[in-house]
Amino acid sequence: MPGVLPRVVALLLLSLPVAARAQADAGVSLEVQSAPLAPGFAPLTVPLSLLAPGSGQLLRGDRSLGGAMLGTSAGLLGLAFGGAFFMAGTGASDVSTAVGPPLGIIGLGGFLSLGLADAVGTYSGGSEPIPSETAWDAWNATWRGGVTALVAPRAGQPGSAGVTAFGSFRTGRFLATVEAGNVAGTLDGWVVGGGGVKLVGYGAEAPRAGLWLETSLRHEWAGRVGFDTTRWRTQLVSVLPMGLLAPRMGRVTSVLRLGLDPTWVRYRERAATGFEMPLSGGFEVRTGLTDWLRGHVGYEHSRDGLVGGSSIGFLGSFHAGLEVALPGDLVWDVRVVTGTPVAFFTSIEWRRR
Amino acid sequence: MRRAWVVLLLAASCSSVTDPEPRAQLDLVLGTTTRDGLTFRSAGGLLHALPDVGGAPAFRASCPEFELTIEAAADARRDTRLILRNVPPGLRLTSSAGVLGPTDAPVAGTPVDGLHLGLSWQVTLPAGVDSVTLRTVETTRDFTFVAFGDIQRGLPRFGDVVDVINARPDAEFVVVMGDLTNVSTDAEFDAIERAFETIRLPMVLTPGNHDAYRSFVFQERFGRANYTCTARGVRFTSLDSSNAGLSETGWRLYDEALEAGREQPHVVFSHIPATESFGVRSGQWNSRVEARRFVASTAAAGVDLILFGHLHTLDRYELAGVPTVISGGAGAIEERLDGIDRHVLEVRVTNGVPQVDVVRVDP
Repeated sequence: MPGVLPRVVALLLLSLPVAARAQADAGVSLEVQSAPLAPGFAPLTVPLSLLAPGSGQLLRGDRSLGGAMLGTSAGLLGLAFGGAFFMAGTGASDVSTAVGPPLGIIGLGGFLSLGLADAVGTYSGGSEPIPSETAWDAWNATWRGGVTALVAPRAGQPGSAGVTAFGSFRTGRFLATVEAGNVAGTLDGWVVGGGGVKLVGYGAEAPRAGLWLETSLRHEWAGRVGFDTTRWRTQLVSVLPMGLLAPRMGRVTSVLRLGLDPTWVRYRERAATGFEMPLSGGFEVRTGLTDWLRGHVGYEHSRDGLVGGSSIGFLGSFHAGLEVALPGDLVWDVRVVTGTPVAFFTSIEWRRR
Repeated sequence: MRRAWVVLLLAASCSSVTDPEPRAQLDLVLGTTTRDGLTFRSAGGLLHALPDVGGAPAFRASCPEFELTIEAAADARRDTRLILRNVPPGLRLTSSAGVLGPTDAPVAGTPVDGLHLGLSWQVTLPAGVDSVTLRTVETTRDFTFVAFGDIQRGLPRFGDVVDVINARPDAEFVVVMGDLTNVSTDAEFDAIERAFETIRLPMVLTPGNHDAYRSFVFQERFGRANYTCTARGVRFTSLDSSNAGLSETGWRLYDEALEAGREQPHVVFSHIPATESFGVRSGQWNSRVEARRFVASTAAAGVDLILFGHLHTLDRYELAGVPTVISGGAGAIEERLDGIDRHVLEVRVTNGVPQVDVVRVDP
């Protein structure tokens, strides 16, 4: 079953940008001129856009794009519910696992992406370049480097804070990443090295965007609790500037990730080994709020760091945060993660386009 | 379809599963109570005080073997009738001479009319003695127990499971890996207790996430959620993982249980799998770091068998070399396409080594 999963995921991940590209190619949205709504409508239409993505475009008179977004979002919601129903209806069976969680991530991530794009696109005049807000966008930066501090106040649990240093280099087609972390107050930590290659580009307007195959190797040593792990992560990563749907949505970028994390665990005292094969992935939707402020919300399914998932075990953690542009190509990022426990991250990052 | 909706809505609301730390804290005080100047203190909190029966103090035994100390205040009465529930017929208690009988020979309890698996003893504190200890007669021997998990909304068909259990002639008690109810209501717990009264064996329970929507309701009825005891020479440890992890106090209790069982055969039973065999669905603890800590400490302590529920399927695998079984087949939404329907486990312990067999309820 795991062998089938990546192919299914690839097809599903591709479906959203392909649909978007088809919209653009057909001239459905890019050439439609419709008037942005007055900002005074915002309190009414933003929730509507989030609940029924595309409704904002209908309100501003773009019936083609609005209808297409409504239809697509209904399909994505159907995917999410279908995955959840399949998993619940089969009693969380072994078979259901290859279907339920991936569909949930893709469906919910895509639905949220369209909702935010619709909310933004309801008021934007459409004059922004595609993709806009990229001067300090993580996905368009060639060089990135930074430090993240994490506090996860979990009563009684070992290791509730940590520091991570990371760096990456991305060209139009290739990606290389490194990361090193330490659990505060211990000698425990981890190192990560990885790379990626772009399989499919979504459009010349956004040369870094596309479907990427990314892989990484992470080694963690956790002497405080008696194990070491080596995790080989392989994910398909879709980076989709929503400006491909319509220029007025160019502030929004959708990122979907899905893959597997085969993990080898060595239990020190028993000198025994274990093998785990969790699903990994999630989504993140990012939008520029002003020239210097960006917001992001998302979901992370894996839970092998200092932050865990939900209290019933099936779900990972949701997060939301803000990025602030600072002088000197620096970005300050703060985010709250609603896992177990609620955790707080703050990063200082240098990005060079 | 309606069932799927219900499950989906419940799953969506499961972030409301309550904090496990207050439950673990409550565990620390359960098992001790005072009546008429007599203090009843059970070792490890294994006897849970229930409402009096006929004016006599009554307790539910969490495990088949236990120890109870009765301490008398200066002006307390010197004798009492003691009623124990969830104990096997013919259970014998032993104490010093003059407490249960003229000698220290074990004394069998007297069945109590209308009380399922209820026995009573007459206890006397001899003159000049302010503290007596009663304990079950412990024997190390081969034995068999039954285990299952996850009833939830399957109670209307639970009679089939009961029939299978009652047909196991060698079984001496039943270990339940949680999710007795669907949403922790009093009506559900009332119904499950009535259903348990159709089982001829004592029930050894641990709570599931569906039993913890109301934080303390499981403990109010059945006693401690985290506990450890010895039966037939084998240590049994219940671990409250209903929140997909352990609290600070839960970890401390578990570490103590592992230490206590280091020289014994040891069976650990809990609801949510720390780490499942396949893993893609992530029906396991919410932190892999914490899960691996569990596996590391469990394996290092030489535990012989781990039993989980939560997933409505049957998986047999090893965690750091420790045989592990996930079994959630007592009637909750049945797993489909896995080639297994409702089932229970029959565990035979021979020379301290547990051997697990699967007994299908639906042929």
